[in-house]
This record gives sequence, structure tokens and C-alpha cells, in this order.
Amino acid sequence: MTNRAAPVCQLIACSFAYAGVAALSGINLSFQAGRMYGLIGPNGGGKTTLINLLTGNTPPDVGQLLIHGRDARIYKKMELARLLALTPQHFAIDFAFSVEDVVMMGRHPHIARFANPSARDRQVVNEALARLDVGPLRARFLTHLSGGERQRVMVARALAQETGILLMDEATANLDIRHALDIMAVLREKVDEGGLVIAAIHDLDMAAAFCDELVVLRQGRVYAHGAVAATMNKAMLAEVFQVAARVDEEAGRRRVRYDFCGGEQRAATAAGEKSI
Amino acid sequence: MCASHRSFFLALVALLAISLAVSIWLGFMAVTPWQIMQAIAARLGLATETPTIATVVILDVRLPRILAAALVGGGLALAGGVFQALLLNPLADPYTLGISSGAAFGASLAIALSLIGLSFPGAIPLCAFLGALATLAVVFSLAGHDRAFSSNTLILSGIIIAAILSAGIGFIQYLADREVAAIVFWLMGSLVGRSWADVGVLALLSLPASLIIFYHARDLNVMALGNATADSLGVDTVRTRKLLLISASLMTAASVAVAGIIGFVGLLVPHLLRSVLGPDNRLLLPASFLTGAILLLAADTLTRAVLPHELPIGILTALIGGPFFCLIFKRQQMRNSR
Repeated sequence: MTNRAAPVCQLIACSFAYAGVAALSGINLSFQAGRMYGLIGPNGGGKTTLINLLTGNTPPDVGQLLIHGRDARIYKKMELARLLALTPQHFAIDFAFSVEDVVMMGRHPHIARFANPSARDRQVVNEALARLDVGPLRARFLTHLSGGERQRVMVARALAQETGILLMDEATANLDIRHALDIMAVLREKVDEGGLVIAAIHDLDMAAAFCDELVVLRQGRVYAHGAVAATMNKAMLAEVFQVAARVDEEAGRRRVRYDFCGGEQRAATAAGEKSI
Repeated sequence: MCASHRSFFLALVALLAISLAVSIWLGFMAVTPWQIMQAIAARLGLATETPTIATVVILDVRLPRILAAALVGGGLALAGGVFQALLLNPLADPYTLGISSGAAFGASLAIALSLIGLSFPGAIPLCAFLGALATLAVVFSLAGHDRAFSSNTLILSGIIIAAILSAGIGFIQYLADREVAAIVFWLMGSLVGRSWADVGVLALLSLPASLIIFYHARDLNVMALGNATADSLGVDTVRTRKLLLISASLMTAASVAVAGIIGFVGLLVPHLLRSVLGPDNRLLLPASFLTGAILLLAADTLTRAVLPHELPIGILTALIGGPFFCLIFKRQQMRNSR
């Protein structure tokens, strides 16, 4: 029996600053295999910085990142690339690589320097293309695709990397709802196979529906971390996101419904005016 | 590599071989192919050398110039391809970081100093090379605060340094007064009278730099996805960027030191080939080297042996390359707008 409690990824007292401006401070977090973690928080809360720290390529100013119990700095870059994959929030590509070329780049850490892709590399790429519904686009240039299509290609690329840890920074941000749900389902599959997914997600309803645990970041600190049921609630939404919202239980999942335009307050004011 | 790519490379190699052969043969003094083979065989120790005017012309005038042209053209085109890939900008060229301005400043200074009697053999190429290196060092230190050497920081630093150096060159030209022609001619670029020593310097710098570049071609492809993604795919982007910038810059510096400023080869060749071969640097970069070598050799042979009066090579490449670039650019724009 493997010890399910042993964390795959662990941040110990991590702080990070951009040019002296603190982006993250005093972060202690553990992430376990077979679970999906949603990073939520307002803009500028530190989600992207946290994802970057977790890649192991941006060492924290203070503190330590452990991956499988070893300091991330001990690993060679290629070793890390076989352990974790990243889908970044922003990417610009100015060269006309085909969709298939880009997904094949996900195999970079698996193919020796001057070797050609093996049959297995091709198979993994084909599966990733099919899974993200971009198979028919395989010969198209990335530069000619829509934002949402590119996003799916980038997720396919990360899947083709075949890593136990997937770091997704707003992977569903540019997508229509069908493909957004589809990517969340792909991530769930990855988790059910024993993988670890850590995803920064803007859509709180989506985060609540698909994640096992949520990490709420506010002003570079962990405001709350725990199971969705324990973290996603009215008080947190009001305090961290400054919105009025209802959180309901539906088929065992938390659902978030916003009171638009501060509905409650406005209704209250209107009622007050009427009574005068 | 698929079959069509293989035949493309074979065609390039064949074309380069033919260009080399034809350019040794062409020239003011008529020589026969038999004389050429005899002379080369003798130099390689396969036959006894009989020093005639023809052998001297073939071996010590034409051959070094031809090889220098091929190495300069190949080096500039390869460096251009690397700069375009590294700076993620298809319109970058070997001179984007101001290396040409540094070399031009060094050469101008050497020419100006020779006017007041301060000179030694090889001073101009040496000063040009040192000028290029000094520029590179300054650009790196300016851009160095940005640990990742992002392309905007590098391009901006290059533009600033180039602008200062251009003013410096103008000042030297002003001081040089009537001797300004020597500086102006150097700036136009030329391969006239290049010796085996020049070929040696070029080969010594270009060939190792090319190998380093070809070794990292696949990493360069992955780096097109952006630094964060490339890092997560196991590419040490900071180290690779530095190494490749230095390699491409050394090649450029050697080329400019030997031949002056030759424009358009470094911009046009990789740009053009990218629309034929696609952006895969494993194909694009070697093809750029071969094509650059063929084109500059052809242009140099044109000005040396065909035109009634020898034109500075830099002027010729700009005159042919400029309009040609406009044509491709226009066609690409039309294709993209459709």
C-alpha cells in the first residue's frame, strides 16, 4: 500500500517578490496525488506566481519546494519536465508551427536529442489530439487558430508530456462552455488515474464543481485551504471576492450563484424607499 | 527528415558545389577547368606544384575570396535565423543587437588612426571584431537586469547602442575630413582581396558556433512556445539563450570584421526559407547556412566577374535583396489577408 498521505508537492514557508513587491508570502501547502486542487482568488492574488513556483523553475526567494519529498532544486530540468507539465495563461507564438508539431513538443523530455519520435511518441500525441478534439486541426498552423483552439492545443501538449503533475493556469479561460467542460473532464480523468492537478480557475462555479480541494489566495497569502465544502461559502465570497452570492448544494456539488448588481442591497434600498 | 526535405538539402549542397566551381572558373583572367584541378591537386600535395600566374590567381586570389564569401554569407544567414528564433521576431537580423554598428565603429576608428600613422597589418578587421564584441558586452550588461534576456529588452538595448555608435561613426567621419571615402567604402562591405588568413579566422569562429547552434536547434523550437513553457519542457532557456546569442553574435562579428557590413542576407534568407520549409529550426538553420553561402557567393561572383565595374557587395545585396524582400512581403500580406 502506498501512503496516500505523503504529499507529491509541498511548499514550505515560501515567499516570492517581483522587484521588491511581495507577490506571495509565507505559503505552506501540501498537494496529494489523486486529487484536483483549484487555486482561486481575485486578480493579483498570486495564483499565477504560485503556479510558477510549483513548476520548480522559479525558485522562491524564501522557503522550499519539495517534489516527491526532494528539494526541487536538486532535480535536473529534464527530470522535472518528466514529472510536471504546465499550461501557461499567456502564450504568443509567432512562428507557423503546426498543431501536431506543437503537441509533439510535449514529448521533448522523452525524446533523445537527435532521435526521431518513436511509434509510442506518435501514439501519445495522437491520443492527446483526439482527447482535446483537435485531431482535425493537426496540420493547421497554430498562428491561424482561434484563441480557444490554441488553448486546447496547449492542453493537449501538456497531456502528451505524460506527467504525474499537471499545472494549469486558467486553462479554460478562452473556451466555449462545451470545450471548457470537456477540459475539466479530461483533468478529472487524469486525477482518477492517480495524477495530481493544480489549476488556477477564475470561474468559481466550475472550480467548486470539479475540484476536490480549493486554495483561496488573497493578497499573496493563503486565506483558506481545504475541501470544497469547507472553503466555498458565502462568507468567503463576500470577504475575498467582495460579491454577494449564494452557495447551494446540488447533486453533492457546491454551486455558486451571484446576486448581480449587488441585488440584495438594491432590493433592500428599494424596499426602504417604498416604505417612505 | 522526410524525402522532400532530403532532396531539398541535396539540391542545396549540389548548388553550393556548382557555385564554388563556377566562381573559381569565372573571372578577369581566363583559366581552364584542367588548370584549376591541377592547381588544387598540387596544393593538396597530390601533384607537383608549378607556380604560374594561373595557379597564383586560382589558389591565392580567387579561392580564399570565394571561401570567404561562402562563409560570410552562410554565417550571416545562420546568425539571422538564430536571432529571429531567439528574439521571437521574424524580422530580426544579425545586426538587430547593434553588432554591425560596433564593428563599423571599430573599423572607422582603425581607419582614422591609420591616417595619423597609427596602424599595423590587420588593424581594421581586428578593431571591427573588438568593436563588435564590446558592443555585445554593453548590450548584454544593459539587458542583464532582466535575468531571462527577454527579446524586447535586448532589441531596445541594441537600438540604443547602435544609435550612439552611429553618432560616433559620424563624428569620426567628420574628423577624417577628406579621407572619409576610406571609411564609407569599408561600410559598404567588400570581399576584394580577402586572404587565407581571413578564411582561417572565419572558419575558426563560424564552424564551432554553427555546431553549437545546430546542437540546440530543437531546444530553439521549444522556446518558440515562450520561456515558461520551454522551461517546463526541460529546456534551460536562460542558458540556451545566452549561449546561442553569443554564438550567433561571434559569427556575425567575424563576418563583419572580414567583409564589412553586408545587409539583407541575414534577414532575407531565413525569412524566405521559413515560408518554404516551415519554422522547424532543425531544417531551417542548416538550410539557411547553405542558402546564404550560395547567394553571397553568387552575388560576389556577379560583381567580381560579370559586371563591367566592381560594385561594393553590400550595395549589391541591398539593391537586389531590398526589392525582392518587398515582393515577398507583399505576397505574404496578400496570402494572409485572404
